[in-house]
Amino acid sequence: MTDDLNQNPNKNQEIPPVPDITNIPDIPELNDDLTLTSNENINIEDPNSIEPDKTVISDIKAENQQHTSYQSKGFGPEHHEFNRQKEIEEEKLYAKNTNNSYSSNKSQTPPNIPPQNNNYLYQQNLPNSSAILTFGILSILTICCCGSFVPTIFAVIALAMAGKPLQLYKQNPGQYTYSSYNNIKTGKICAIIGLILSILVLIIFILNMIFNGEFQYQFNEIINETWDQSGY
Amino acid sequence: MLPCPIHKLTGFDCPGCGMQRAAMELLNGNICKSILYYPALLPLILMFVFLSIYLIFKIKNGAKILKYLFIFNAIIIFVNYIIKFIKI
Repeated sequence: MTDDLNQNPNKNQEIPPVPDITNIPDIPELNDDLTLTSNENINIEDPNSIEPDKTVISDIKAENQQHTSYQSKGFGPEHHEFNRQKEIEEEKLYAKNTNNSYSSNKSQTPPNIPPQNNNYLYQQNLPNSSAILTFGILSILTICCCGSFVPTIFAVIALAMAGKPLQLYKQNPGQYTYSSYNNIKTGKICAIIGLILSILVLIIFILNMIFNGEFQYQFNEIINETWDQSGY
Repeated sequence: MLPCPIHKLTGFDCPGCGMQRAAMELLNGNICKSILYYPALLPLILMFVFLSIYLIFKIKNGAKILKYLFIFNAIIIFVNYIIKFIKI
C-alpha cells in the first residue's frame, strides 16, 4: 500500500472498506510463493483454456490450512484490522506532509533540471552534435603534429558549426534531446580552450623568434638552400 | 621516426614534441620512460578511448567527464611545454 501512496497520494483520500478476510482464501501478506500469484493471473485472463495443475491446488489447500492455523493463534482478522487502522493513520500523515512540503517548495526556483516538454513524442538529436564534440577534442589531440596550426583549424571549424544548433535549441528546447545539447556545449568549450592554447603557443613561438638569435641564422640558411635548389 | 617540421624549420620544440618517443617507449612497455618523455600521452589516449565509447554507448554525464579530462590534458600539455622551454 505504501508504494501506491508514493506514486499518487491524492487517490487515497477515499479509503475503501476493510474486506472480509474470512471469505477470501489468499491474503496478500501471507503469499510467499511466487507460483501461486503467477497462476492466478493466468486463470483470470483465460479461466477455461488452462486447466490448473494438481500441485497448485495442493499448495492452495496447504495455504488455507496455514491461514486457519494463524487465526487460531491470534493472527486472524482482528489482528489484521488493527494493523489496517495503523496503516491508514500513517497514510494520512504522509499525505499531509507531502502536501505541505510541495507547497513550501513551490516558491523556490527549481535546480538545474533538463527541460521536459511532453508535446514532442520523438525528440531529435541536434544536427552535427557528435561531430562538434569530436572536432573540439581533436583540437588538442592534433597538437602533436605541426604545433599550433592544425589545432586552430579544428577549433575554428567546431566553433563555426556550433553556432546554428545552439540557436535552434534555444528556439524550441523540447524538440531536441538534452544530451546532444550538452555535447555541443562541451565541444564548444573544448574548442575555445584549444584555440586559446594554440594562440598562446603561437605567441611563444613569435617571442622565441624575436629573442633567439640562432633562429634567424637557421631560417636564413634554410631559405637560401631552398632558393638555390629551386634554381631561380 | 617522422621528423617534426617545426623543429626542422625553427630549431626549437613544439608542444607535441616527444610524443613519438613516448609512444615507442609505451609500445616497448616502459610506462615510466614514456611519462618522462611526454606526460600527456596516457591521458590523451584515455580521453580518446572514452570519447569513442561515449559516442557509441550513451553514458550518463559523459560530456561533463570529457570536459574535465580535456581541461586536465590542456593544463598538462601547457605546463610541460613551458618547463621544457625553460630548461632549454
